[in-house]
Amino acid sequence: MEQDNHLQADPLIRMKGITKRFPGVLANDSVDFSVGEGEIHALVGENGAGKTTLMKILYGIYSKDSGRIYFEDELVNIEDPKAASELGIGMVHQHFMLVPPLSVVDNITLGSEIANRGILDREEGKKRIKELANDIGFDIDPEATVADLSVGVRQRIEILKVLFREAEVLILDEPTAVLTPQEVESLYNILNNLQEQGKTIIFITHKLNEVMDLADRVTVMRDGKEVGTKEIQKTSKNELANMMVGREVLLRVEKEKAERGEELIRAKNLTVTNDKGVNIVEDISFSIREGEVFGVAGVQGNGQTELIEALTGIDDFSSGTVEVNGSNITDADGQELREEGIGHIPEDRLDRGMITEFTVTENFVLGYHTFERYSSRLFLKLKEMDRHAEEAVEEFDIKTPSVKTLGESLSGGNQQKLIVARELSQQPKLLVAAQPTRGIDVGAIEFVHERLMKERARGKGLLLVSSELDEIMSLSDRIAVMYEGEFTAVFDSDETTKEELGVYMTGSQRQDTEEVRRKALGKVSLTE
Amino acid sequence: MDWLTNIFAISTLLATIRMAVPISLAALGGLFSESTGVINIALEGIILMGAFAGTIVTNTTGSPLLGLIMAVVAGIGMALIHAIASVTFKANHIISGVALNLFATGVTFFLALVLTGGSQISVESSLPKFLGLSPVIYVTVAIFFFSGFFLYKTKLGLRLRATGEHMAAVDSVGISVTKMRYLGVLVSGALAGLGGGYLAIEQANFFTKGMSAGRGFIGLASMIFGKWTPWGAAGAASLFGFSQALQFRISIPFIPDEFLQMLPYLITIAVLVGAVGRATPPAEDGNHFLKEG
Amino acid sequence: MNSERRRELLFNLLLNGAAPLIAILIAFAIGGLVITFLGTNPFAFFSKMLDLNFGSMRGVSQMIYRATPYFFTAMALSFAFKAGLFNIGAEGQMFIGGLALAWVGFTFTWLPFPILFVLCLVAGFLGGALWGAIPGYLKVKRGAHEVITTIMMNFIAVAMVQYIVQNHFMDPDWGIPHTPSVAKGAYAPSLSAIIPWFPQGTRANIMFLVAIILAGLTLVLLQRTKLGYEIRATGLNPSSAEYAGINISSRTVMTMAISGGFAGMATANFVLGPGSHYFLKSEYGGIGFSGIAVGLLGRNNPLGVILAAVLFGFLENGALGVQLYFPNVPRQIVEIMQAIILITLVIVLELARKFLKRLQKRG
Repeated sequence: MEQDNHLQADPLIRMKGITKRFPGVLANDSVDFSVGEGEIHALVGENGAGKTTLMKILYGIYSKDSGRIYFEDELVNIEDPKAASELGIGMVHQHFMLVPPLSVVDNITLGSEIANRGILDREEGKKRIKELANDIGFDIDPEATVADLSVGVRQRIEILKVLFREAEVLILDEPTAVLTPQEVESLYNILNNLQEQGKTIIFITHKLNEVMDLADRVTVMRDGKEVGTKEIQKTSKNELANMMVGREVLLRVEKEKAERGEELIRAKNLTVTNDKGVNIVEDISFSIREGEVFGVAGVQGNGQTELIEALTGIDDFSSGTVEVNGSNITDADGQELREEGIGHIPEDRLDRGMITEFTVTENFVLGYHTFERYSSRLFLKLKEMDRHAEEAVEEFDIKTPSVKTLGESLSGGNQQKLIVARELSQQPKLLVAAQPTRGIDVGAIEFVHERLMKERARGKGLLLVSSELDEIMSLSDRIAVMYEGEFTAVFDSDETTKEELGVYMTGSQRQDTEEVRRKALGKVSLTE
Repeated sequence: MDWLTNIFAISTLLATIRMAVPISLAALGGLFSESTGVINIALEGIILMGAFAGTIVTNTTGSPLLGLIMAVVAGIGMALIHAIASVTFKANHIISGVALNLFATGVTFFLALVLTGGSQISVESSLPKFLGLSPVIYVTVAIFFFSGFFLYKTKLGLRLRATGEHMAAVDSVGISVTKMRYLGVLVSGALAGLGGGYLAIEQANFFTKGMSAGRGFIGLASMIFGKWTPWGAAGAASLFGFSQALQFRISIPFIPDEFLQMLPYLITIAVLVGAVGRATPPAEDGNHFLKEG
Repeated sequence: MNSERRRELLFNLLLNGAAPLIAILIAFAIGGLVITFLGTNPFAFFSKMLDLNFGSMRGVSQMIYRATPYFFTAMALSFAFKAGLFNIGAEGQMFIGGLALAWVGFTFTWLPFPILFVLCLVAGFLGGALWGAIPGYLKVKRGAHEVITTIMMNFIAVAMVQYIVQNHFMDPDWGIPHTPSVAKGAYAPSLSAIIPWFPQGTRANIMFLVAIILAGLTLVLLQRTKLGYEIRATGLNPSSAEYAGINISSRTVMTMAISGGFAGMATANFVLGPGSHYFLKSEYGGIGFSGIAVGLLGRNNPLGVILAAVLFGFLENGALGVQLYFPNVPRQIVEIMQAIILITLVIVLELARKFLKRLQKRG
């Protein structure tokens, strides 16, 4: 553990040995964290690293299983947000705690209303809010309805809400995740102004640029543990990136030589636009051949999910074309894609990949239940389904009492194996695998990796999306880095390093757009 | 063209007002409950309970005022069961409401038989009229003015409305979601109970089994058509009261009574599908508050 | 692994077995208290009820007759529930379906049994299905929540059916509005005609067997067909269903249609069964709403629903007969008990779930 303890002899907040367990997940594993008065402290880490959990414990939303919190060197018990509020701690949530149909003034004062015998004094409230806003450098219309305001303005309202309660410590959870670049700029100003006023600020992020721009110190978390705290002047983005994604290399995957065969899929100029008109995926092209693994690296939330969901027929592309074996499948639905031989291991096991109240057998045919081998026109072929499921349970070593057991009784790793088994048993030509080893134990990870490599050796194509750099590095033949909806770099996997990928993943560097496109489409020279 | 002059007769206007009172009180009750996100389809049963309790107490004490008070108390009692089931025990709001409606239908009929041997009980006295109308009508108007003020201008009103839109936000600033919801539901019981008491004591002058006759649901329809605002609800309740007045008083050529009966429900569906302007229910309608961690 | 299997069993037993039983016991206890209060011995009262229902085949037969319609309206709730939908419009679907089946019965009078009988059932199903599909469609296309639309559709159905019966199908000389009688070909045979040891002269009819067959078919549909698989997937996890390429919208409308179809056949027991042979609207009110209680009590399982329907038939038939012996206890006591069963059931279920969760946490 690397610690620059001498810097903060007398921190404002000290969290010692914080442990928090959710069913099946150790979200915080004996975490130490401290913040000095008046500093801007960044808390970084990948999704699921435990940052938000730690902060929700500090703000009293979650109760910790063990550990201690000291405020101004006094042991405190923060059992609910009210207690945190009384200590002067306020939190700006990632999902805003605002009531959309109510006005700005009502939202900010809610719970701490200015009232005269129960009758609201909105004029006084508006005055105070305007003053608070001016103090930190912006203007706001307190009478506006929150539902009509942009995300950036809503965030300011959240900040005002915290300040209105006279907070001295502000926790911001991924404050820039939803903002435009201009809004980010003005958020920086606001936070700097707050610091000048002597406020202490903790902000959660996974964008390293922001950390470098804004923070005085930074704490990195990984897999529920704290991996180090650094002073900004004494660290670099590359070092932080390594600390964030550098999961210990626990395994080496046997990567046999695979013959690259025919082109399986060719995607051109794919764009996904969300309902607010923003391009979440922008102008992405790639091609994958038989026996090839095309990895997409990137910090989560850079458009990978949207790309995959559109590609697998759950959502639609707003433009672009996808061809498989020469036929256009851009608008095909999930059913048609499966018939084309495209399998999909979804990134969210429980929300997409399976139905926990279904039996192992029923989950085993999910998405393939209309296939001739599992159903006739009306009826399911239950015996066939059971037989195939039993074979898969055997082959993929899924630990379950029987195929009639409900999916919810399986451990996470076995649930994931079940999904992998389902997709691979159907002999897809191309497999789209998103975060195929998230949240499962080492043994299961190893197993899944081996199986994926076996498919590659058999000449199958694989599109692998993962935020685990080790996984991407050891499985892929080519690697694209996805940043803010675009491919910003493409490498052959034996020509790059984790460190280099880390740099591109944080968006601080990018390759020439044409070169990226050419390499992603698998063309060696410009003339091909 | 008799029917045409009848429609615009003063007596039709008065009948409309009388018909609108229980509907509008139920609508306002539904509004209070749903402003905290608790759906209350027990309004129908609450009206019935109020009507029954009001009748019995008026006849035993000789005081219609005590009868009306008892109607309110009975309404609160029913609402309390709804709150316990749907807020504390997180039962499905609709199921709890259905159960209470079945309960009210059974219990009022049962008690009427036990107490009087018949399913209809006449009310022996009612409040003295004021300018030809029941004082409850004026009270109802006052309640609407007060509710408009309470919901939009007071601290508690703000908290109630916030609860129905975003429970987590309300909880995050230290307000008890449970308390707000109980308050909303109990007020709805009091209002619908008063509506029931008025129906039996002041309007019909008798209690009979099943006399709520859909008024709770028309109240719900008024609330939706009125887009979850007190004045919208009052307007919708008046319209539906007018259509009821027409059904009972005038036979209009080409328009069957049954069409007037359907009207509130047809309009509600039209509103829900967005054919007559969109109305959005409180975001937390029907949800349960589950604390994290 | 074995302990997990055991836990699963415990879950099922507690939620599907113990919870309904506790609710029933509480209802009987409260009912008993009320009866005691009226100066009657509750044990004498309930044992008389037991005797009236189970003391003779005649009693059983009457009980079955009363139970049959509840099965249909309860299945309306329970089937929709499988797809995550809350259909509380059984009342309206029952009326529309009932009118449709009566209409076929008194219109196509030349058709022989069983063709006309079957056609009547189909008409009932289709009428209810139409009335159920509309809220399903409005939900899918316009986002209107099915709870409110089905409530509203109930009242529209009542008014509509009343209008049609009164203005188009009614002989003005009749006192109470009802349709003409259905033709002989539409009559539902009484159970005694099919099962020799059933007593003659009771109203129990083939609709009870139809109910049992439908319960079995529903189980087959849900567990063994593609459609059932997709309906369950949609109800349990719409997001995963979407991943699996299931058309959630079409499954929603279809489920609501089948659900409404069940309710549409509820009155066949009265209209086609032995007795008056016409559709008498005023007789059927409330069966749709009580069906909600029956469906939940049966834990939305077709076989459970049959048991729950029989319990409601038991209460209703018992209440009708027991009045002769205990005239000071109005028969509405059973309506109160039915309501209590429903309200305590939802609370007991919630408590059981909490208890199980705590058990699970402890390992």
